Amino acid sequence: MTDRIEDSTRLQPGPTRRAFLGAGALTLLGLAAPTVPPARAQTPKRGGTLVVAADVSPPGLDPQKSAAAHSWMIAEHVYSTLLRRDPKMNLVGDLAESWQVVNDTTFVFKLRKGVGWHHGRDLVADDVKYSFERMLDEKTASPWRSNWSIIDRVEAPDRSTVRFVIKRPFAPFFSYLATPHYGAIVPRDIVEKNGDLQRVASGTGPFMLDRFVPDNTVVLKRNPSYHEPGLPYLDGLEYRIIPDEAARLAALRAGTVQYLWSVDPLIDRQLQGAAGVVLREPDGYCAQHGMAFNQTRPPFTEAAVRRAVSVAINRREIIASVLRGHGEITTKIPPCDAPFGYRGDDKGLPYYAHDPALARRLLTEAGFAGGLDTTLEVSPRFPQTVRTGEVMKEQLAGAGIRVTLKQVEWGAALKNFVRTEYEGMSMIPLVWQPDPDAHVYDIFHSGSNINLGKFKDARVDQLLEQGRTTLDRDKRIAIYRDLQRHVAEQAYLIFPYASGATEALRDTVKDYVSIPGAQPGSRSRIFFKQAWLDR
Amino acid sequence: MARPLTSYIGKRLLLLIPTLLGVSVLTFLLIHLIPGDLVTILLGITASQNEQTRQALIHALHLDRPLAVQYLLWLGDVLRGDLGHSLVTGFSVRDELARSYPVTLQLALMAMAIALAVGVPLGVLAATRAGRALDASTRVFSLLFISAPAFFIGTVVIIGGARYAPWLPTLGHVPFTESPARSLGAMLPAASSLGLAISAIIARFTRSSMLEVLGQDFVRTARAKGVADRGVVYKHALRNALIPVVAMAGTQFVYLIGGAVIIEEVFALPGMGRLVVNAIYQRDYTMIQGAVLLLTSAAVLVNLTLDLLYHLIDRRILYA
Repeated sequence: MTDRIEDSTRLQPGPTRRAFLGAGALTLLGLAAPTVPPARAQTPKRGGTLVVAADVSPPGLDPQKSAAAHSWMIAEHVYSTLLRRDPKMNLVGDLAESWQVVNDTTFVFKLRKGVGWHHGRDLVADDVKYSFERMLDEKTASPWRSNWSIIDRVEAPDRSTVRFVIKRPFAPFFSYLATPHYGAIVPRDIVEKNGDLQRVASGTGPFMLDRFVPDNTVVLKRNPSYHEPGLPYLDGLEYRIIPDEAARLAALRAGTVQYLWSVDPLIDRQLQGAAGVVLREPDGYCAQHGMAFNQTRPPFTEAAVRRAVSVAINRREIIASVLRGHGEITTKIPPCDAPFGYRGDDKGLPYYAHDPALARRLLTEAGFAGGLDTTLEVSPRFPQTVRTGEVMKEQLAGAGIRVTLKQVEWGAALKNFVRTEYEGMSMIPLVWQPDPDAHVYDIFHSGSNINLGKFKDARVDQLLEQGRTTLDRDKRIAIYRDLQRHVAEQAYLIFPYASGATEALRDTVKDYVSIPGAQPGSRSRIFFKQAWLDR
Repeated sequence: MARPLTSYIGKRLLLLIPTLLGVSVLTFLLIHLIPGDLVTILLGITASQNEQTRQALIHALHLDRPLAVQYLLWLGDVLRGDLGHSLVTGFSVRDELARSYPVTLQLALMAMAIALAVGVPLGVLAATRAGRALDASTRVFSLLFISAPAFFIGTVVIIGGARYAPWLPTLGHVPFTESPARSLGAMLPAASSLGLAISAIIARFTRSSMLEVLGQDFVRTARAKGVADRGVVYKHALRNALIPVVAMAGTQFVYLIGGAVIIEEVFALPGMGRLVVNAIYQRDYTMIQGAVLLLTSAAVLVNLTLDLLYHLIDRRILYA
């Protein structure tokens, strides 16, 4: 075993192209050479605390327990993962110095030397083993337990070697390892002392938790012994919880906060031209809306009716009006995940182009010559979803589909959506997932209890299984393109658009790296690691 | 005098027990009646796919037991002095309440102090100068602040502050125990937004109550006896005019200690209002139950204090 590890190429600071060619299957999984950091216009200055205006207080800080994006925002600055993604979305080593694919189901990772926890002790292989065993333990009630159920065992043969044995070939494995909330490595001693990591934190990441006052603030301070020498430049990072949008915008204008994300496309115009404020468009659209049909009863059991809905809505018009152009046509795998994402337009995908005449024909064919009445559930928690619903209602009326918009409280709306307990249609915002498989498997598979709309399609199931077990990247791309085309053709679900969050920063924030489509939880990223303040 | 008063207080406090029991049963039933479930909210769409994960969580949170059993388990813990842990975060409910209630209480007290300090003098001035310019401008002030909701005034304060006085702290919270001066300063904008709205109501109330009292026989008698104008207004009339004002301010205060949700949101104060609203959104049953116990107790105690205050203002008001 040890021999084989020493044979594997040493990766400094990340894996090289050659290492992957040698490592066989990994190249096929989409791993690539690290990208060279962009040339700096100015020499970074050290010090200062960057204040982020956050809209929601994290319900807890434990990356292995909290399913809330606002917890991950903190966790990804505090914890490290074995692998991580660079701004080009390539997988590179983080805590792992090198790794080796022994066979399709066995992977060996060699840990970086001299990495210490924030509380002082050295990182050891047992911490990695413990982190995964903790998520798999039923008592932890981790939301990520099922993601890792593929793991047969994790072994720590010595202080710096970790070996994963998985039950069968599983293509998303490495993506999951690089996802901050799935793959965070946590310290056994701190978890055992405190029961969990909801209120306390100790990681190996660039920032350490100073204090967490729920509904008020999360203060992080610089980790002086972070494993990337010299980083971070900031002395501190604070997440100030400001629930009111007008208050957040005012605080940014006044300069008391330096960053806020997810500016509503209807509001970002207010900030345009504000002194000292820089708006950043996302580099890719990763977040989406999804509309599901209740396919347990008529009329949506009929493919023709679903197709009629698909062509009755005008996706371009929705993007232009609701998003003011800040969006793209999408399938479930968003354009930012191209080439997996179907970067098509409405001509490339079946039943995507707006065609009310075709919609009427399809309805007549299905026996609804006089049109039909149905409902659409949306939650006022997300005003953008409600606006999207209103525009769709108008468009559908044009084809004779009369929609009653039902506004439902979010807790109920989410449950109804996930369990198909709405009357006609239901729409919610969906988030980016760390792998094409994670995007579609559970919501498309006939055997899943969150199959959105409760549709059953043997071909879909077959493609999903193939996509998950095929390790060749090009073959995987072909499988997912087939799948998306098929789902569009059957109109099992409607994806009106992919969108992204506009970010607003003070111009004093320099070298902030935005990863495509950055939005809370929608991307794996450490975005303030290299940032500095020009004070 | 002392005896009936203590037994009255004792009786009122004893009544707190059935009140709390009733309220907790009612809240428990209501919160379980709301559609939507904690587990889906907790796991999110990504993780709720796995029935095993769902069942494990349901079991861990005792949500698989009958409702009555869940309630009795909770009640048993409460009787032993344990309010339990948040189902969402695992935080101790008692610690969370201890963290957020002082914020709400401080906001309520500051807002009330501002409301009374502005409202009562304005009302008195308006009453004594009824029909004159000052009275008219007071009326405009009242109408403005009664019509404009506190959150609107708050938003104006924040946006105006950011634009014209960016150095002023308008957002965020400093615990009183950390630095009383900074804490009061940081909360002043929020407390003023809330307090001014209430002061407008108090001013209107004080004015009409004063006008009524000033027209009464005993005031005329006092004047006839040669009591100076100031003495008539402040010693004789105001004392009598204050009773309805105290009653009204008391109702407002009971409302304030329940947590001024919107003002807390606007000014980013980590108070009780936001705690409860978030707990309801997330179906955090234990947190809601704990908060309701605290809020009910506070409301009962404030009402009791108010009744005692009437007695202080006017000794003739006795209790049966």
